[in-house]
Amino acid sequence: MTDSFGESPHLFLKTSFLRALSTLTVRWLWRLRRDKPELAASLIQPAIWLILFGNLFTNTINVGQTSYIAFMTAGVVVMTVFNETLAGGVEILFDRESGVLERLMAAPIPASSIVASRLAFVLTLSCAQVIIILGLAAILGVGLASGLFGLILILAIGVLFGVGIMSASMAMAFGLRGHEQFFSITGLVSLPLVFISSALVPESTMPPWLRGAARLNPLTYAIDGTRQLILYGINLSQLLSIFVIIAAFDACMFGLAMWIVNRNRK
Amino acid sequence: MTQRIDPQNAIYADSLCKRFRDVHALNGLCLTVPGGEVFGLLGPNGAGKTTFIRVLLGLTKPDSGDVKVFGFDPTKNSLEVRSRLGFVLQERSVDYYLTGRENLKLQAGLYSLPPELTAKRVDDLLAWAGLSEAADRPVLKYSGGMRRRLEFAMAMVTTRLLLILDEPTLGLDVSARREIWKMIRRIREGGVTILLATHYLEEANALCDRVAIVNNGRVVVEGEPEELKKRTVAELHRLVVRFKSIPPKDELLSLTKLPFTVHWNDVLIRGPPSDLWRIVATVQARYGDQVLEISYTQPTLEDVFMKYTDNTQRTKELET
Repeated sequence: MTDSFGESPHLFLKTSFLRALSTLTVRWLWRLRRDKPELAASLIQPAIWLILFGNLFTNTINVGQTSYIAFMTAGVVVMTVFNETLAGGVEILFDRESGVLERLMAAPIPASSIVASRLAFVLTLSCAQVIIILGLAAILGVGLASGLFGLILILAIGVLFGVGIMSASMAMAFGLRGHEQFFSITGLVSLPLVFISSALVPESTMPPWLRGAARLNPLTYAIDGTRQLILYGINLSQLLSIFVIIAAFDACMFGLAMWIVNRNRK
Repeated sequence: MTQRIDPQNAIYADSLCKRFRDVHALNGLCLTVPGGEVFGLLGPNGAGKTTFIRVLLGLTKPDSGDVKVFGFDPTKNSLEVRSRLGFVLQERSVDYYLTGRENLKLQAGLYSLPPELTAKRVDDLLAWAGLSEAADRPVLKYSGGMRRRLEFAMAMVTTRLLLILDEPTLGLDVSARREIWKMIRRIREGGVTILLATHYLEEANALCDRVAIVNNGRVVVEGEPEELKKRTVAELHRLVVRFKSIPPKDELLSLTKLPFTVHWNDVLIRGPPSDLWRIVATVQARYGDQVLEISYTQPTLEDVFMKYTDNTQRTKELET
């Protein structure tokens, strides 16, 4: 069939979830390719943490038998996933502000593919960053006690944890008035949440009230699980309890996000 | 209530209501748009045009009333409706950080264009929109007119049955607007039904087969532009007489019983054509070379528009 613009089938198709997902994910890739400085910054930042802080605190913080860099590698891994996924929803908010989201919502695609594409993209990017950080740590002399299978488990913890943070990020993207609010909230919570966790110091050195707060912080669980895998090896019962706790956190955040999306859909 | 769904009709809306807090965005809107027409939706800002369009796209759920697009209910079968229509909305909705070609490829994916057809179709659309040369530049570097043309190309990425345009030339300069008009006419030649919401009456006059004027969430009058002018403002022809120097007021009063206004040396009189031509004869006989210029205008769509949207009290009188 042809129309006045050339050959075009008269298709009135509903687009499948997979076609929509791959199309939208390609969009994020194209955008990333144009944003090289940001890509570089997201890799340089964890390197700075590892090299600068790792060496700075080597003699001030006692972490037992291991070196401080080895101790904080798990913290940097989870922190990177945390920062990446916490900011991950803001592109949806930009789309909301610019009107692109409106175009997507009015396309013959399942609405869930819009959010899913962002989730898939950010989580994949985070995994790549985690692998690069662990490679850098290896160069700095931090081995992976649990081996290649441990690496897969570390990525699994990262993805599971990332889904929860990403849900919170999406909740903000749909619920907040604009990106100014988004950035002031992420700026406010990101550093304290890292400090109120076992990222930089062992829990045993924290004052009791801080230790209690750290137990309520999902970062702590993701970090403890990752640290076990980096420093000592696979501990199945610990891993299982960590997966359950993080999955529960994910369910809460996902529920919150769905509630906000449905409230705004009128 | 029995439902009458005519499959020939592109759009059928019956008694649509939508309230946002205490604003009645749609207040019993009824409208039928047959296939193949360019149908103009006119109305002041806040009249309900955009809300109506969002209902058609399945983005807003009406509180009550019936709506069908090609027989499908957009509130229940939004994907069926969306797979048949294209749109250019008021807000910018292209990705500024991607190139024109990339935006079109994405659109092709979202509308399930088979991958083997995509490259050719994208090239054809870029050529049609006059964007072949700019195809690989980011949209951020495009002019306002180029962006709009890209949006039209995106709207037509696969053959569409209905094209919805919400203020498609808002904020464009005159030549960019003419370009868009050309595109709309070419799309129409392909047999596509077009719903054009605009508040540029000149645009509606130039493009539309029929128009409906919307005010306060409902259609207040509907018809072909020419017929509307005849039917509703036939008495509103306009005569402007420009004098070298304005004659005294009592002399002017003796000219006609019709109401008139004076701006500097211009006298503006509105009324039925026969009366106005009589005045022209009298003015020429009485003042001759004192008159610099006489201009005579038929009623415009603007007169119709003002009559129905300016004064709600008068609208009510007309309805009864």
